[in-house]
Amino acid sequence: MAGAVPGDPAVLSLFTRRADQADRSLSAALEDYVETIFRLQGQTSTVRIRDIAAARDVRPSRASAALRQLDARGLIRHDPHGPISLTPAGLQEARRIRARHEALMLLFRQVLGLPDEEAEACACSMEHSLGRQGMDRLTRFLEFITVCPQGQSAIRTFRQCDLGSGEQRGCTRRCLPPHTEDCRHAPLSLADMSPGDLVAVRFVAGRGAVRQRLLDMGILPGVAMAVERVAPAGGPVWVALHGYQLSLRRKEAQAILVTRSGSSA
Amino acid sequence: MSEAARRSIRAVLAGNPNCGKTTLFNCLTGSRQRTGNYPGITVEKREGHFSQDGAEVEILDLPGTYGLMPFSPEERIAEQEIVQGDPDVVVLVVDSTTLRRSLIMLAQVMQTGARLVLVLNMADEAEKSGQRIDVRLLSSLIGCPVVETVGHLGRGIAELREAIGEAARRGQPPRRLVLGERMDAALHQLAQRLIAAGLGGKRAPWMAARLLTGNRDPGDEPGLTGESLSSLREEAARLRARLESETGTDIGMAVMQCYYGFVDGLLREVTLHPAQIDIRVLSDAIDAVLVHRIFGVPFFLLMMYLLFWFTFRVGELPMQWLSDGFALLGGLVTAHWPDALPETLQSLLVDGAIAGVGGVIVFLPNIAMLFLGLGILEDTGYMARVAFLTDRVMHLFGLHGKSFVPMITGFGCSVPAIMATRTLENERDRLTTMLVVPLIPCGARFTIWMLLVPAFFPEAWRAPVLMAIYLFGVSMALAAAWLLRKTALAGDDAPFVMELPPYRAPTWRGLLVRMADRCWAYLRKAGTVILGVSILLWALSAFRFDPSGPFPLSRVEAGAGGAEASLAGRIGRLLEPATAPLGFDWRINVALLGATAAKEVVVSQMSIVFAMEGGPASPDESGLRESLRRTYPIPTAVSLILFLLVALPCVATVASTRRESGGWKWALWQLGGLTALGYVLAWLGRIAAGLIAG
Repeated sequence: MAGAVPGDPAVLSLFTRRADQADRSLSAALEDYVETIFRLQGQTSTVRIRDIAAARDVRPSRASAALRQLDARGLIRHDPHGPISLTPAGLQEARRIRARHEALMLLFRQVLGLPDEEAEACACSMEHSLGRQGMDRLTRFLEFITVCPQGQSAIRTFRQCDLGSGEQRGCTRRCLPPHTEDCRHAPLSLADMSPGDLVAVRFVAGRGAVRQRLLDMGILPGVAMAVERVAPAGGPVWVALHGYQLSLRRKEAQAILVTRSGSSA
Repeated sequence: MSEAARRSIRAVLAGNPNCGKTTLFNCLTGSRQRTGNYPGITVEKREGHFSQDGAEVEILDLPGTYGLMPFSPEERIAEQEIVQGDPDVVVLVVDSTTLRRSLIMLAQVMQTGARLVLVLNMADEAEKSGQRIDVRLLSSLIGCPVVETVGHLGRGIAELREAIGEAARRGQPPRRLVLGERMDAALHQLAQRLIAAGLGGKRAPWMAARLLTGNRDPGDEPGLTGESLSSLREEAARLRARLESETGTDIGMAVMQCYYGFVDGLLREVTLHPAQIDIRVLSDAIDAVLVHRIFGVPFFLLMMYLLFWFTFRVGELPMQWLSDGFALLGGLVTAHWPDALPETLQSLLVDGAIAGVGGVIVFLPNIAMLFLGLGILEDTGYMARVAFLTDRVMHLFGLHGKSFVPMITGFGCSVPAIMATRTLENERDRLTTMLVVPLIPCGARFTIWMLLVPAFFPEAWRAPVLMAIYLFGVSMALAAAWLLRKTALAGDDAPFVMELPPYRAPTWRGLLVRMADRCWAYLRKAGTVILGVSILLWALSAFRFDPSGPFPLSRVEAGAGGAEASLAGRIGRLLEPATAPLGFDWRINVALLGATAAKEVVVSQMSIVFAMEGGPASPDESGLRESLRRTYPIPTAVSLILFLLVALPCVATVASTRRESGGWKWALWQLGGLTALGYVLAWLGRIAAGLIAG
């Protein structure tokens, strides 16, 4: 999973889709074996039984029994005494397991702010026991709460509170809107603008590679942009900023929240 | 010679897409890599050499990136070469007209601790806008040489070469990157922990930045082990949380804001004169017309039509000369053939080599015009607008606006087009584009249209028919892409975030060099693959199986019916039951076999067969068209055009797909799928044409 960021929408949606069709579910132990092989494949060129046994801390005979089961399900390729590799189906399974793990890590680490090891332990014990529907819904919720700017700020406020000393009430109060005009207006995104509008960036939502690309292109809070043109039929938006011009698809433009500062038209 | 003077320097060329790295690379090394006013032309890393003060400089041209944090494949390559590759010098090229954005990469490269040369390219455009930069001050502030260049005019190249040599001689650059107190403290703290855990001192600051932003897990770092991992993770998480709560934003944004803070501070110091004149005024005025809300797409179609019209009309006359020339050559050889030499050799030369290769070479002027036209559209920057205009449609079919580059390249040749799919970040987008690219009519097939279209259609119909062929090919590619994205390659869409460069006047040198390269490649193919296949097909057409003689093969008698008895005729006849529904006879079947090696062979083979049938004749283009018109009815012509358009991707295409997709699976799917589709379409086309023609 080189480059995959925990909670990357692509990873999450991969999981969501797979979860819908997971009939042939593996036992917890077998899932762990698939995950181990996947991890070892990323580290060494040839994976052997003894590596797997060592990584899982079991005797090679037990590992070999588990591998036979995986072989029978067509998830791995395993010649006797030869190296072991995941089949395409096995790779898919491994990615699914990894994505589920990352979604849970997102919850325990990023949202709830547990230290890494504690989060890891929680995710490990929860991932095998949570049902398909529950996991699916949880993933969707995490996606929503971490992408939505209000959700992000709520998570930040929550984590800034000292939860141990009974300050929960004060924390909740901090979240109440201070009666500003912002409450009445839904935030506008770049996709809502029309040609000729001058806007200032307020926030860049989203996550992972897409958001990083937007930030790399210089789209940061406070930056002024001019909407030059909009392609017909819901096509991309064309903006000018920092003395250069950029086109973005509407979906990306929706992640950029702006305030209108004027119009050149 | 002293030790110091003989050393070699390893340099890499990095920078944003479309900032002119490849143009500078060509200037530095004297090579001719493809350039264009369009982001994402360079998809592979490329190497070149030059010598400076007796040192051999080995320079690597990296694909363009907007940052060094590895998210996309290109960024991964760039990060790997700059950080892991540990080159002697990193040459960072920036577009002088967009300094504020471009210098973000400067901050990141400085963070890696690389020895750096900063190149302010396109200095002429910046000058025109009134911008003046204090280069010496900039150089002393960032602690590395700074050079102003104008790539396409070759200005500043000598200084750049010198600066590379100088940077390599200097020691480790001083750390001049300042990202603000909090950020610097956090990064420093993390870097110290990394060094303590055993990571090399030079790499630590950059790794600290990646660790802090959560872009890398310390467990993936080979130098780090065991117990230090969890404490590093914890430390990074703690510092991240603290920075996030102090800045009130997430870490990704906080880091970018620090980079911008540094760049803004730097620019405030070194800008003597800010840009006052908007150099894009003209560019914007052109865009107001060409990318018009309503007329943009019609303009694009008109532009394409003009391109094809131009290829036909301008190419027609030199084509006639070449055709006459080959006819004359064939006639001369026949007339002056010495009686002492065997007649078979004469036939090999005239009917095989001259007819086969000549039949392909006559289209050289058309090929030249096509690439000149595409080159103009690309170099001016119009193609980026086309991606803007077409993304909506491309997206409907599950493709990406960036798929447009490979697809346009596909008009030239499918092989580089398949390679160009590397600019696509999403694997599914990449595979989809790769698989449908052969449906875009390539230059080799263009040769076939040049023969067939005038043979079967009256003058006034030719440009529209050619346009229809191209539109049909493109629509089929889109339809196939849509189908693939609905079935085998279903999944999420990749983002579309693309820079639009200003219009720039193309240089004649760039256009002509690229056109000449294309023509030369075409000629080379004609002289090798096509010559070889022509001779093979000639042999198959000139001999027949004859068990009675001392030698089991004997010459085919010239004239009607003779060629049919030949080996080629026999093979072609054998295939007739399969191709009969399409209306193909044995001649076409043999030509199709040859077409798998290279599509142009269809033309060679037609020339050979008809030359043999009419006795030793000249490969006169109009004569061949006349023969075709007499032999095949219009419905067969339609089905042949459709079959050649869709089915049987050539060997080189299948091989590229195998290489780029990493296995035979997709390559064979492509071959089988396209051939089956082509067969069905050709069959339907023949029926439809039969009904219309009555």
